[in-house]
Amino acid sequence: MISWNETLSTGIDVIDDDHKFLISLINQFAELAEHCEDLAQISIAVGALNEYVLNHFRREEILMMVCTYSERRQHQREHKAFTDIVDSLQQLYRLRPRLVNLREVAIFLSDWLNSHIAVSDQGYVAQMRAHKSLVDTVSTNLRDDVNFRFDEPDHLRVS
Amino acid sequence: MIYWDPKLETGIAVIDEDHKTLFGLLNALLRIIDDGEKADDAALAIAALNDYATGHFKREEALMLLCGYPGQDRHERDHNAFRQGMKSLQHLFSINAGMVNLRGVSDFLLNWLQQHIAVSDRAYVPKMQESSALIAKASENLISCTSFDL
Repeated sequence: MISWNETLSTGIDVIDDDHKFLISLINQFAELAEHCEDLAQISIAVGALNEYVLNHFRREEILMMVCTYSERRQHQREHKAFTDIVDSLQQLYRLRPRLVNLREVAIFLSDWLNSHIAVSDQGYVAQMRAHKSLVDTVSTNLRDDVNFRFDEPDHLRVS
Repeated sequence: MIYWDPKLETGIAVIDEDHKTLFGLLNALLRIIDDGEKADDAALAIAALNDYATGHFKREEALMLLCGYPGQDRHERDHNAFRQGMKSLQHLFSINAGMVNLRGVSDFLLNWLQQHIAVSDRAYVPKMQESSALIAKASENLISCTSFDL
């Protein structure tokens, strides 16, 4: 389980809100991986995570671009590596759920996300702060995006 | 250790040889798992199996096409689902071997192969037998492109 703490904060609200939501999705997935036998519910959780991650990466990549962050190509490659892994996970799970060690996957995804936020994302913070007003304006637009949401989907709630 | 079951024979030599090779490659993987699965070796065995399966599917699909087998689309979908799943498996395994349940993989592969050969492959046999001269001729070419030999 990842718990949000100040060392994970980037100080960019739209990104921090995304990260908090992502952490809750990944924690829910980890919880399901541990206890849930309902394959459909697990598929839905992975699907929701995949979708939200794609949208979050897109928002982050837009902000990196507008503030001309020099390492953004490398950062995008990290995003791509992660989404490829989640894709493979979905494909393999679709073929035969039993082939996937869900607990190990949950640990891997949590560790990846934790270290990506704590290390890679810190890399763009200074550059985004230097372009604060532009980042703020673009953030407002990103928040209007239909894909931006904080409500915990009902079907993911762990009872 | 698994053994080739003569009941699985289709009577089309090039295909039966391929199927036996696939069983041989699966045995190699089973051995590695039984020996305590060194991840590098398991990755190689899975890659060898996937590569050979890909070549085999191509050969089989070429023969189905030649003899005008009407169930080809469906059969190819089965091949593609298998290939896609195995590609994902290889990918996850290379990132972190622990994410894949290898014992589950060997059971899955054995069941899938047996089932696929006994049911899906069985279905094209009559059509291939009708065109046996053509199949025999085409098989000579297919054998010469077989790049993997055990």
